Amino acid sequence: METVLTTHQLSKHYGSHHALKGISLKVEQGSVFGLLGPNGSGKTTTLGILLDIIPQNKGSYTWFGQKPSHQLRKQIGSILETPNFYGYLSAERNLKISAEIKEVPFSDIDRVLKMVKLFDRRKDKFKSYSLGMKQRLSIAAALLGKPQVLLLDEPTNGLDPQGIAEIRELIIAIAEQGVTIILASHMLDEVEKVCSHVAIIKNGSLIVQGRVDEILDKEPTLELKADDMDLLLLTLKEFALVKEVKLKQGSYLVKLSESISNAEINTYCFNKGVPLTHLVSKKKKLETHFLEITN
Amino acid sequence: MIRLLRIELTKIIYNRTFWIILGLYVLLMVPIAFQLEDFLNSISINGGADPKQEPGVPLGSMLLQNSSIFSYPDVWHYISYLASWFKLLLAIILIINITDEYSYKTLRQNIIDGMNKWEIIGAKQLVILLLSSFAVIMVIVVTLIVGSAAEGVNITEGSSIVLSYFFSLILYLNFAYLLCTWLKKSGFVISILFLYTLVIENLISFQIPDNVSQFLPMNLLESLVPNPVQKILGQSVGYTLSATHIGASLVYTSFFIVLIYWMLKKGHVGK
Repeated sequence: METVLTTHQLSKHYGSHHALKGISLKVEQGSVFGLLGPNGSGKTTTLGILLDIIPQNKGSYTWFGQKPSHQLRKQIGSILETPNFYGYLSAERNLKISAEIKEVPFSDIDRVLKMVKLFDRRKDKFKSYSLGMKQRLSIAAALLGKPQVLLLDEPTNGLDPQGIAEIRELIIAIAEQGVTIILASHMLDEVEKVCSHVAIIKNGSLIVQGRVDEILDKEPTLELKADDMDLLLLTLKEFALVKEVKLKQGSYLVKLSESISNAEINTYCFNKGVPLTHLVSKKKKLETHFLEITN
Repeated sequence: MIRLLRIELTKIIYNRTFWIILGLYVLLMVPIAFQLEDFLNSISINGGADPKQEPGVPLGSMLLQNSSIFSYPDVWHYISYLASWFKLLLAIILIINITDEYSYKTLRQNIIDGMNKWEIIGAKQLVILLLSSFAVIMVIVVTLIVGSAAEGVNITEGSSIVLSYFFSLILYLNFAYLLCTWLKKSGFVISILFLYTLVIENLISFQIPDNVSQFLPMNLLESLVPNPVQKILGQSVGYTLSATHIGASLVYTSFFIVLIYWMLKKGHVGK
């Protein structure tokens, strides 16, 4: 698989404040890559560096395996923080400026306006738009010229639930067309719902990076109960894959070193003469993981 | 280049503020140019308490010693100098145009979308060229109309000052551009432009010899289009195009552009 983006030890400090402490990322083609972190963790700084509006102090990055340049940026559709347009210009004229910069034919403007359902309002001034419409217009601008990579910074920020759902559906639909998406977000469920890969950053440092389902599955946990709890404990301690057993609210929380099926553990316990009365497999939620590693 | 021009024209053409200030520029400059002589003549000097009995000497005639300032070749100098008083309005148009890019965050969006920093500067140089060319055309048109009474004279004589005026505008507007890149907010930029032009440079001028201080940027503007008062007073100091002054203005302009580029590279593209 081709690599769309590689960063190597990106660092940025503002005075004595270290906003980024050597971030190395790798984004594969076709993935939906979530850059997850609390506010102020360095997400926007990272994206700003990747788009040449913030100079890094150390480190380097490549787009499509090449040294970054403004020509390469034309092939990346980007939204950074808020939608940025000329308030006195209509949506259509704003997109003409974007198309002119990206050297994309004007004929593409109608297509992207229809995609984000703003075609009927295209003659209206940008400043008359609601926040949701502004956000959608910035996605339209990012889609001009059918870029192979979309870079979206908090695209659902400040939207109402309906707007959030619309934007997410749009992102998923675009991803299905094979477009690589890099999505910065502080919202776990957004990353969980939309992304295939995730990098979690905190205070400017990379904490973990990988497939979302792998990070989800990292430490599978089972919740078990039996009539004879003491015997269950002994039985579990004999089981090779069990790493840790904790009693919590009348049932055992069992951490496993690798994922096994519920049937397997059930059969094992039954054969040892401990019929289970309760068996729930608890995938570690990204949220728990996120809170654990960021606190 | 054409692409950058189209981008900037789209920003300008539909901007109402741009047209209002440009309209103000025309509305202020044209009537003043046409009526200054009448205005000067409306002021009487050495007149009695009752102007009807003791009419006094009209200031205009006294200064001009019965020769009109509206005659070639001096009219070129006179109109250029007068026009240079209104350059602040051109600077305000440019300052609003550039600081808007910071307040709308469109400067960073333009870069994100794929402009490099030289293209950003190049596009604004085109705006500066458009404004300066417009101002020069205004001077040419007003001069030709004001001087149209003249017969049998070579109307191009003395017109070289227009070139000098053009370079003074390029310098002045790039100075404003530099302040915009540094300060980002139109209010700050206009205040600092005033403060520098009226106070700071004068303070510096007092500290250094005249032959050096004439090359400070704002003094240089004055050297490029000097006050024609000596001409009005009848001392025929013919204006000659000064290659040194034009050269100095180009050196400053280039220096300002390099500074702007350096600032953009350092991340002065708005937050």
